[in-house]
Amino acid sequence: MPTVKVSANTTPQTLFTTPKHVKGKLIAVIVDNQSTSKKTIRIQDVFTPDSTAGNPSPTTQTIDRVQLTVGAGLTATLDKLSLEGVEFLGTAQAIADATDTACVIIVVYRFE
Amino acid sequence: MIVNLAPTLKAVSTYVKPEDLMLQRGGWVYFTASWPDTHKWCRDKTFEVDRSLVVNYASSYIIPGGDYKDIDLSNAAGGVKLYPTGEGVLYEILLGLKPGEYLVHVYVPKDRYIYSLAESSMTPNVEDPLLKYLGALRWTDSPHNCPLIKLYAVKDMPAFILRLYALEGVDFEKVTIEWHVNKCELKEIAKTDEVVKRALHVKWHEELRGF
Repeated sequence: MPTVKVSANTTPQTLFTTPKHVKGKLIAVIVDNQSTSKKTIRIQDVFTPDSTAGNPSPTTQTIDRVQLTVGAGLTATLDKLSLEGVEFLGTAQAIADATDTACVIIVVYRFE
Repeated sequence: MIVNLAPTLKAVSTYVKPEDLMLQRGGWVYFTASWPDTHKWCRDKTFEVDRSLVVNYASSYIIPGGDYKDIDLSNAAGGVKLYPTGEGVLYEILLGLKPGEYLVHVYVPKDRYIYSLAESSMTPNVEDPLLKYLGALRWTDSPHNCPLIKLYAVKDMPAFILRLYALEGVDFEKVTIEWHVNKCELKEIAKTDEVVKRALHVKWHEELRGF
């Protein structure tokens, strides 16, 4: 199963781009925060909807799908059960409340 | 020669073979007498499938909850373009729906629903809290790995319109439809009672209304 690793950054870090005819599913999210302060990580879904009857000119949407805060020196894991039903329609990206290479985010995912 | 069956159909049932679900070489087709003069080439005639080929395709749409999008399956500008362009060809279109919180309403042509009931108010309407469920298909009615809904299209036939409605309560839904287009080249054969009785009847859409 594909895995991606990024470090905490206030600039969105792309995790994966969901192909056109599938949805992205997270299998696990691991945040290893070896920095000296707690970190809040959000995993966002970025996509542009299709034109519809109610909105003929849609704009890009950025939706928070997952958020977790991890204390300094700690590791947090969200497993498959915790992530059940979380779906990504477009590009998944991680964004943190502070930039720090000592805080690592690992995401395991699949498409279906 | 290419024999190309949609592999997903093999999982339908141990008692159903793919060739029972899709037209194959040698299969018989009868276009009923209700087809209009604009389709004289097939109206009230019987045909045998001379050759066939399955072409797979897919379409996806991201729709906000409580909103809908109409998709046109014909070759019109902006359509999905799943119709044949020549006479003597029938496209048997299986639609497979991927899981999601959405409804599908079928119209042919635009704004003429198929699945209604006799009472005058019982017509599908995605803007009505109850009637949105009338005649609506869920993904379980024709799952992508076991498509059970078939549409038949010939050249210049009125467009099938699918109204895709994302259920309220979801932020956005990705509606994915997998198409298995069974292209069938037809050869006219003598219209006998036996052929008409055993052939697949392809009805004009108006035959599905009025009762």
